[in-house]
Amino acid sequence: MLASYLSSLLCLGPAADLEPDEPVAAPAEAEAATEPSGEPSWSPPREEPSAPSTPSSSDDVAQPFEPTPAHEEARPAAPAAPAAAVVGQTRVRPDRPIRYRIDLQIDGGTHNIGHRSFEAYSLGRNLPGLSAGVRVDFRLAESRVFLGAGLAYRRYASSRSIYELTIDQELLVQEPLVFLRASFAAFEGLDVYLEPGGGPTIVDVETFSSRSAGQRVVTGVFNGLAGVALYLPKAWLPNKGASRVTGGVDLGLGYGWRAPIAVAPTPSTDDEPLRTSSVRFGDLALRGFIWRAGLFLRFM
Amino acid sequence: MLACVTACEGDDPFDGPLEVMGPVATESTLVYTDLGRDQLVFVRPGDERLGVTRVSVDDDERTRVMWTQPTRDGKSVLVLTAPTSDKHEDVEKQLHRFAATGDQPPVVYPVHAPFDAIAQSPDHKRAVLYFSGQGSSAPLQNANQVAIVDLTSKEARNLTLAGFGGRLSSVHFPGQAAAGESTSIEVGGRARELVAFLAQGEVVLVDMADPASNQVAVTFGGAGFEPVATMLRPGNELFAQPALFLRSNTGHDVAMLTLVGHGSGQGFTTQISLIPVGGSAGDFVVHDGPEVPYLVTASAAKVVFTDVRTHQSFEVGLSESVSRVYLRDHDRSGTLVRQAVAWTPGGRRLHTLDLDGIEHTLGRKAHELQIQTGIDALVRLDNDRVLVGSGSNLYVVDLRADQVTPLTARVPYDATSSALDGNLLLLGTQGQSWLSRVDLTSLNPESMVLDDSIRSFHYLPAERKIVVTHEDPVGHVTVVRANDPSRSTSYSVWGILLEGMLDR
Repeated sequence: MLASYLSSLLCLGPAADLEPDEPVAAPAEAEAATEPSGEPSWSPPREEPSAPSTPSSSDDVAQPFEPTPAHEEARPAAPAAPAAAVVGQTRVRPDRPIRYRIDLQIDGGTHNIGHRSFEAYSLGRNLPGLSAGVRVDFRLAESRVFLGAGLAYRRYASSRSIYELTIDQELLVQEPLVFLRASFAAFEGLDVYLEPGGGPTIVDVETFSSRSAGQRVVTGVFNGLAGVALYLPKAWLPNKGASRVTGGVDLGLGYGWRAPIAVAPTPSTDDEPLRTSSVRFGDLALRGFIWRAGLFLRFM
Repeated sequence: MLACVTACEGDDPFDGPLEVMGPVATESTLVYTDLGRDQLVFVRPGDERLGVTRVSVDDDERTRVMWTQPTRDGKSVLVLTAPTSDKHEDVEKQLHRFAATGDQPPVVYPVHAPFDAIAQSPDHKRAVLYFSGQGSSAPLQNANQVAIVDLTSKEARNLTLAGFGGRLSSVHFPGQAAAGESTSIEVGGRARELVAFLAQGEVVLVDMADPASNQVAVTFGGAGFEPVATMLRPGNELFAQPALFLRSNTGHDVAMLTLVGHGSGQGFTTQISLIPVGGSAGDFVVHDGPEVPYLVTASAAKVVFTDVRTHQSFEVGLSESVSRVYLRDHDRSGTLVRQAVAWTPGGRRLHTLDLDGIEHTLGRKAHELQIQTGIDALVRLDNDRVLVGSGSNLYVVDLRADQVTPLTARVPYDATSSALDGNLLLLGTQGQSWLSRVDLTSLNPESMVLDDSIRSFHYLPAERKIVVTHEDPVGHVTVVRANDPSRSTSYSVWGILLEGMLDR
């Protein structure tokens, strides 16, 4: 019994359930279910008379066996939640409704830039990147809809040598983003979501020939993503309905738009240089379709 | 699929090399030629910033730029285009004349061959295109085919020289000595603007102003005379007929072609004679004394004066050999007299000889100005001053004041890489990282340090700016005010050839 009690402590938190209307088994009923013998969850050990001790050859006087007094009364019935029932040797936690979710996500993807100016910084049209973020959403009333928001940091980088390796070009885009998220839980394990967001975008461009020239521009970015999140349903988790943590994959597709950037990098100079500037290279337009694939850890 | 939808739009604009020619300098701009895009890049220096303009040479993608040259007056730039492939038989070879600022449509001249050489008349009116003889892209080439282009109109004249089979080697405008001055020679009662085509052992004369005129061809094949220089003397009261003089690097004669009208009244012809000058003439000029028209030649250690009428001559000995001579007006105590200046590359003296009454002054000797370290190059700054380059030394010679001022430098200067802005001599030599200036009134030299070494030096007189290019494939220049070269008023611009590259 003690072993079963300890093992129950290793199980995860209270049970959660996508169907809040399903009745949660009351601890008393659970106890009744788990103790077909009808005994309360804990009871003092049975009293068993012991055999009279054999008188020793010593002067000890045989002491009659006295039953061990009960040092604890039986515990009263525990409140309905979150007490766990004990079934056989395993503690079982009751199912918990999901009211909020906290996701930690990392993902990778690419931004397909439609404007030809981007070809100065990449052999193809794809700007690969990585992202990491956190989001929180809450169930809307008793529906399958979750609304929330999140923060993310996204980083894209690209480089290219143009004009037969005469000139090297580098592009770095860093974006701290804020986004909103609306999810619809189609069924347990699948969310469909919309995720608009935006924030500042920090673009660094560099050009290298006989000398280097660089420029940092801060402008704005707007994203609109739609996708699906596939995650482990509770039935697949050890704690079943009481599971509090799950994980999954996030697949998203959308469009990102940034204001055009007037590229005119400043060349590097030595100490006390002549007044030095560069010409305008033109407008770099970083906008196009985005796709991403990521992994997330969800706390519910 | 999405990547292909957006990527499949044609050639990569950043693929291929960045092929650029130049720059060449006009009076107000620096002009690069972007061979990859068949565009001219006009760079105009302002006081505070640089203006960069790209202009397409030709809208036909089947053409390519062969070469680019500024005109002598600096007001235009000439571009020759030809088809990219011999398969494009319908694409014409054309000469395009753009304004120096590039802000006007070009004048296009049809020329019938991909000429690789050009000679421009000193009066700025015409340009002659020809083959230099250094290889051609055409499968079959007429070596004596030329095009005479009128730079003041839209006319171009294509012709073949009616010579004796000699291959064309150079083009001269013998009647035009002063730049920018319109010069015509009266031959047979008619004004003519002559161009001389020198070939192997022969010369062909063409009147550029009269397409209907005949060509006059003279051969020297049997005399071993290979003409390399020309000089035209107009007719006057001393000698009525105009005369064309031809000099050869071999032999001791100067050929004299007296130009006369053709008997039929159309065209003109020549009367040929050879004038012995007592040695191989290194250079020649003509000088009219009060009574005698002279041919003045520099040869060996003497200056020879030859009467063009009688071929009789006398000479003035010098202390060393000379191979160059030119004439200037010398102010001698308020009186202008004609003076000959003679020198030779490698020599150590400039010899000056007053020509007033030279025929009546026996024993007159030339005056000498010493160039201690020898003459590498000589540049005429104006009538009174010359700049002599001599290794790591520069000499400013004031012929009027009879003064030689040596300027010593740490490294050799290129005297030809210089400009004169008023009394300020400006110098910028390739490989150096400074510009120098010499005030010719005080002869005080100063230098301005640049941030990078010089690749080429250009003076733009209309803007009064010096533009120095630096070694960088993307285009890097420094702009300096010619009248006040200092770091506080100068600026540098980088990446000129990448201007607008993201918008193409």
